[in-house]
Amino acid sequence: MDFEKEYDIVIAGGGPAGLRTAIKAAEKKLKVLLLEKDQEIGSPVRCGEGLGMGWFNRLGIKPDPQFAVQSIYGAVLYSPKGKKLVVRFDKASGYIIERRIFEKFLAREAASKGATLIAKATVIDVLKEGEQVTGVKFVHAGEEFSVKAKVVVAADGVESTVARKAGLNTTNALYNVDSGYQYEMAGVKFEHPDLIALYFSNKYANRGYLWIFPKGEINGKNYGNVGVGILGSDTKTAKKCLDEWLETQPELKKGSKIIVNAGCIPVGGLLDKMTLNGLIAVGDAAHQVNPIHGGGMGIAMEAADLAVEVIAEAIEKNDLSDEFLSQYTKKWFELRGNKLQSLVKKRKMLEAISDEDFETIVNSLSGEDVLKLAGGDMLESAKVVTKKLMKNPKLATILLKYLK
Amino acid sequence: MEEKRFPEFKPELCMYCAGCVAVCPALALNLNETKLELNKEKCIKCLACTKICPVGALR
Ligand SMILES: Cc1cc2nc3c(=O)[nH]c(=O)nc-3n(C[C@H](O)[C@H](O)[C@H](O)COP(=O)(O)OP(=O)(O)OC[C@H]3O[C@@H](n4cnc5c(N)ncnc54)[C@H](O)[C@@H]3O)c2cc1C
Ligand code: SF4
Ligand code: SF4
Repeated sequence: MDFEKEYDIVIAGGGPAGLRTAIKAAEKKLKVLLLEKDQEIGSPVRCGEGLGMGWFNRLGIKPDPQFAVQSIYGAVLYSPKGKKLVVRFDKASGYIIERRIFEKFLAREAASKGATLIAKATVIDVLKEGEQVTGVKFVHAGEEFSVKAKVVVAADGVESTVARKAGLNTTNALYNVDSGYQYEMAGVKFEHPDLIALYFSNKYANRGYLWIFPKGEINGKNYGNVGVGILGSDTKTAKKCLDEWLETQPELKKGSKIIVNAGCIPVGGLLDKMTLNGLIAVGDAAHQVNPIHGGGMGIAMEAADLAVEVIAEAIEKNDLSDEFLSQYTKKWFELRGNKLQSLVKKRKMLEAISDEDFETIVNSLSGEDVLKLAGGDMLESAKVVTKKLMKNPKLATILLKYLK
Repeated sequence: MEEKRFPEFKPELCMYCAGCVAVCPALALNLNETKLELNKEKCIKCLACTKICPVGALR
């Protein structure tokens, strides 16, 4: 097989975190190898595929229509009883992307810039010299290989086995993981084909929400992702929640389920340690996800940029110690982690709200209120609702119940 | 107290999403594309994997 014995960076996992790491490392002329266990980069998809405009701008990614398939102009929120709040912006606030294609774009870009990528290559362990991680062992098409690296980037998603095998505890507590299930449905009519729809209900989505992320229209019919995320420790399965809810949606029910996805989302257990000697964890592997809405693609890619900066400097200074690499953790918290941490607290409050109280809350808000407060990002609405609640005395009384 | 037992796996339901791997404190589950294996020597019978599974493939 065509790869070398030693690299500057070996990346485990070819999702947004790993692929972006490969691109940025290659741009810095570092020698980089990416190993992806699945036979196809981009598939299977474990994602609702929503990405806010802010991320495209921040990351400098051009929304190519080949993957940015549907412009989104805002959100419609449904209360448990079906009252809806429409938040619509004048300009597109995000896209639903075809992730299979998006990841292919990233992979081709990485390869074009000089990175080596191998699909169907599973990292099974790390190599260590004393306390220093010095590479990985992987299996490709039934054969075992070893490869050396100055730094190993664990970008292997929520399962995060690579970091754990190296000795970094990234195990997800059940309470901090959401369990998700989703169909891509086709041949349906969505009420709002250019808005994401979020349905709140403790009955069908304990702690989380149900969603419709529209992807497009053909012959007057819509298609898109219809899914649910619920508390990981819930005794009901996510599949059951979604199937039961669909029974209450006569129009949606008529659609065909052309893709079935499942996946879990680390929504709250931010790690204060994300590095070891010679290893950095990025993306879901390091629990870098928005704890309120579960979005993680943008956050993962942003963290990848930071990881590459720190790794490049570490290699230049020939200091691959945990102490040096841990600057990444510190910088990430300053840039993103601290904001996410404050959302964890808000989420804990939001998730305690009963369906009945939620109804009262929704009744006293208007779409306009939310719009005024949201001012931008596609998935910000949940956050805005909380803020608004804090300011209204009647609603604050309800909230006090939950603030203990 | 729940009974102490190994999780029961129904491969025909499995979506290979790795949720179970993510919460397994003992690294007892090994997932490779469309193969999920339980290492009974490592498993501590906590059943976290059965709770997270989005489809009930682990019970
Ligand atoms: C149901 C659901 C809906 C979601 N919706 C959204 C959304 O709408 N918007 C959003 O931004 N985020 C969403 N997310 C979150 C988002 O999918 C993740 O945050 C994002 O994929 C994280 O990227 P990553 O690169 O860290 O991990 P992943 O995308 O999971 O990539 C990890 C890669 O590593 C590979 N891998 C694993 N182990 C190994 C190994 N040992 N060796 C080699 N390769 C390995 C995996 O096969 C995988 O390809 C959703 C998640 C779920 C589950
Ligand atoms: S969580 Fe369930 S569906 Fe996902 S890989 Fe594990 S057993 Fe399979
Ligand atoms: S029962 Fe616990 S230790 Fe055993 S496989 Fe499941 S999560 Fe891992």
